[in-house]
Amino acid sequence: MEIAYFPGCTLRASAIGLDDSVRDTAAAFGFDFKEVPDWTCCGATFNLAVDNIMALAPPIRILANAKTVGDRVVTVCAGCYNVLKRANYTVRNDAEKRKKISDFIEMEYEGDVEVVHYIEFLRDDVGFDRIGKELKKKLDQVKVAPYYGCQLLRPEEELQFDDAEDPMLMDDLLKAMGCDVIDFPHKVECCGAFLTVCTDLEARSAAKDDDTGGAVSECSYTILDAAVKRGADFVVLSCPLCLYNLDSAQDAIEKEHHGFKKIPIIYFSQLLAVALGLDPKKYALDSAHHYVDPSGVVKAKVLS
Amino acid sequence: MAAKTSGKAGNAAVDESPAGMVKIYIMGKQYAVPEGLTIQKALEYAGLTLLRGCGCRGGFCGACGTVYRTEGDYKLKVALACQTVVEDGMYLTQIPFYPANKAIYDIEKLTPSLESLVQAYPEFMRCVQCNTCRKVCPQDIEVMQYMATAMRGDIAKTADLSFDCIMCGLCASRCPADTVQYYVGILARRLYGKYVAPEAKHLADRLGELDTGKFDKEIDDMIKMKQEDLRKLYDTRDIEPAEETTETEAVSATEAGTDK
Repeated sequence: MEIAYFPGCTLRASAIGLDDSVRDTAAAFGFDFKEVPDWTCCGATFNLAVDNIMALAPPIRILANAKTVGDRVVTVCAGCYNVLKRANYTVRNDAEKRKKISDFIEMEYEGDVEVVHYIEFLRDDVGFDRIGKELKKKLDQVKVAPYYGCQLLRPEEELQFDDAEDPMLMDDLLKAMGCDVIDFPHKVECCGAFLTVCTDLEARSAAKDDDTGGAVSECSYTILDAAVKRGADFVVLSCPLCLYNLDSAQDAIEKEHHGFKKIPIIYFSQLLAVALGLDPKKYALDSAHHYVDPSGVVKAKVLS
Repeated sequence: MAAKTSGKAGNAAVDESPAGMVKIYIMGKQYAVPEGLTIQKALEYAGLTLLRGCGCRGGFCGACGTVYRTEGDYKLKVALACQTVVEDGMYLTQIPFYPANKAIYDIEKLTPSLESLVQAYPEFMRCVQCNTCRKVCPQDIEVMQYMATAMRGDIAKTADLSFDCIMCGLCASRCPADTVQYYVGILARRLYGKYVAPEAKHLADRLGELDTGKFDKEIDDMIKMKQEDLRKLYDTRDIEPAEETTETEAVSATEAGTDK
């Protein structure tokens, strides 16, 4: 049976390096992902109003379309994973909503597609052992801080990705890849999330009278400073919103916090692609796609 | 409705349609009209003069968007009045013009990007992907799908998916988010045509030939021709280019975007 793949909007825009590296690494392991037909935005955030059924229509339509491909849909964006998995949970546990949405979207869907994160796919279908054996680059000099954020993990009961307080799945993957994984107590701290859209970058420079009160840069500072102080070369993650916040906030942080040292933020799959010997130029590991250019560290630590 | 009735065929209400006639409702009033007529012709048969909401009568201009329902079915359906044959028990209403938001922009100053679409129609990002637009499109266009591709800035895909749009505006008339799908679509097609599509070399070549006056003499000669001779010339013209290409080859050449 074929494996459906849901990229999501951000992966076709700013997070193109995440999308390309997922597709290419899956292909390198011999898996042929088939894009979900007629996919749309998943909704980006799961609607918390219990009677807002309209917000469930797009993710459930996506799952129903995924079913035409296979019984599993792989996705990698933490936001998409969160929305699709929770919509699926709703369909499985709320017959009334299921019926109402099926009637509205005019498609039958019973919750019988599994939503799988690409890291779970790498663990269960590829196997972490195999990944370690097939890497072309040695990563033992690469010190990484695995960062999970919120959307991969919470609410724990619905997502069941990993322990929401002390997740280890990405740690395990990175260890299997041979990285030097730091013990990172800030791996589930919030990055500031959608507060980032409240105001522009300039105003976020911790000016206390802006819309966020500098919330995003302060949240990001706490996380990044912890990673830097533990000697990490990269913060590694799977969420485009976390990447944007942690990456773009660093100019503001530098102004506010004397002596702060910038650190590049990359996706786990970009690191995997490069370590597999795929062309590093293909995965947006550059200044055009990052505020803090990761190319120098990639070259020095991974490619040398 | 911008139409007036002369009243000459103002049929009395009928329960049973006479043989060869079907019962329809125009703006709630019952009429018996001959079966086999298009909705547009039925409106005229019933005595309405169509001043607006009627254009090419050939299914291309999008002026005659119609919303209807048939007895015993809750579903609202849509059609082009000039293309759809009346059915018994149709409740009809015409959507001749829909006051959708229409932006003014200078295509020369835009880029083929999401920003251009958002600048012209910021409200289109309110789309919640309910798919209502898709359900009312008389052209069966994947409207929601091209709104999805537009929202991720894929101009080429949006232009492609919306290509068959005839700008009837029925999508916008039913949109719960007040978006103007058809205007977003045509903006994407304009951006595609101007900035993304490869230039058609044969067109540039032909325009160059026109500029140098290559065909002036031929045209002048034709202007002076007797009508009879002109007709003869027309009847014996080359309909297909002289080069021998099979139909399938021609199609695949077009699809590949070559200038063959």
